[in-house]
Amino acid sequence: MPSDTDIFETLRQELRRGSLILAVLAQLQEERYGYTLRRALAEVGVDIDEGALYPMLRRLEGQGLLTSEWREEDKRKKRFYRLSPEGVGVLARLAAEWRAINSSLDKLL
Amino acid sequence: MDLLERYLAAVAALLPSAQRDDIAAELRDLLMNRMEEKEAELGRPLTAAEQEAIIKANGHPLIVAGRYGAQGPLIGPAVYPLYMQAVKVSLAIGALVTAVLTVIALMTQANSAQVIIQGVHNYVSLTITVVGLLTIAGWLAERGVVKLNFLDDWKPSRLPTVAPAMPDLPGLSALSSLGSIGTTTDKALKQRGKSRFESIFELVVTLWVLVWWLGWTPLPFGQAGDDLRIMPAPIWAELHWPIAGLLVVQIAANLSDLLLAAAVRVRAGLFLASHLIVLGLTWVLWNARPLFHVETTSRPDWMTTIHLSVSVGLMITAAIAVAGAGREIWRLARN
Repeated sequence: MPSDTDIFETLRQELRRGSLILAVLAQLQEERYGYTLRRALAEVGVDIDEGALYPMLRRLEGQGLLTSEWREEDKRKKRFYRLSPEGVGVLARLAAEWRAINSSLDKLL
Repeated sequence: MDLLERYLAAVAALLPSAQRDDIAAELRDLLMNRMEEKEAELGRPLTAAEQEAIIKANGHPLIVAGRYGAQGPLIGPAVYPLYMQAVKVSLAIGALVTAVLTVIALMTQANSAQVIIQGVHNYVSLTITVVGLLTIAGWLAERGVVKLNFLDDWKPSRLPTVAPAMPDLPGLSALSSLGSIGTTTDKALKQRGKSRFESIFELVVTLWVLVWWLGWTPLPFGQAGDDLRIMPAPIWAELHWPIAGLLVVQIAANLSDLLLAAAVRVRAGLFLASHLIVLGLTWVLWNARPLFHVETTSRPDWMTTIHLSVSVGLMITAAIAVAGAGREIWRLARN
């Protein structure tokens, strides 16, 4: 039998999962590579495990929402990501959906 | 840095070749960033142990490579309930059949301990095989290779009628789940024409008769007393396989009654086939009378009594089969 803490943690992760994608897309309106993206997210209070972040970036790129390119910075090659034109449209629609859900839930909570 | 290269090589070996170099390069950058951040925090180069700790914190190569693989569970929430029900039902049937065969073996073989050990061994092997095959089937269903159209293509009006529940059999909770495919889980309702106990009883008895009929268990036949010997006519030998076939159809019908409560047409079709086969066999037997040779010296009237009983028995059997067939045809027409 899972404890209340386990149940809460599972529900919290489910709640966060979708919103993390939205946060990543929002941050990549500006070009970043993985490490700086994670730090930028952490600065606004969105902590994300790097082990989950990098595969997520791959999936989003595979879905056509991101573009990427390798460039050298600080004497090391880094992969920079940013929103693709399709990603810009999806982000706008997801943001509208998020605001609508938020507004509805605000009335309930 | 040798440790980092070994780690990256271990991860890369588990990645698809098309993405291998790309992901490994990105992973290298990530880990080097972490090390540089730690060096800046400590104000000195990292020791080998500290580098190893950072690499370890990133996760085992299997886990890291797995994150880049196709996402999704082996069997998802949509298929899982069906998968679990199939596992439970299959294992319950396996337990029932194994128990029957073990009891028969106990009656016919001398070494009881070996029979029981063999029965347990058979059931464990069966469990591993069944669960393995059903897991593969569930995985295929999850990925759409195996279509589960019947879950969408169903009509509430085809569900069986509801009758008052019989109490569960004590100690047989696994068997109690047998009838729950496609039905409500409310134990106060039962959606079959007969009780679960009747269905299980019929199944066990029919299995037993089949085993006896196929000669797998010796039961005395013929000697009914010191002065009475009843021997079957040759027609019984000619009908050996047709009668075995009838028993198999009846077992399938009983199983469908237990397992496929919602599949009214399947059950009705199997029971109709069973009744029609009975009618056909009854017709053949009627024309082949006498069905038994009776040997007795002191009671010659028994011969007449037995032959009359057989004739009456055949007529009653035919009447029951006609009524049963009519009922199943009505069910098929209604559904």
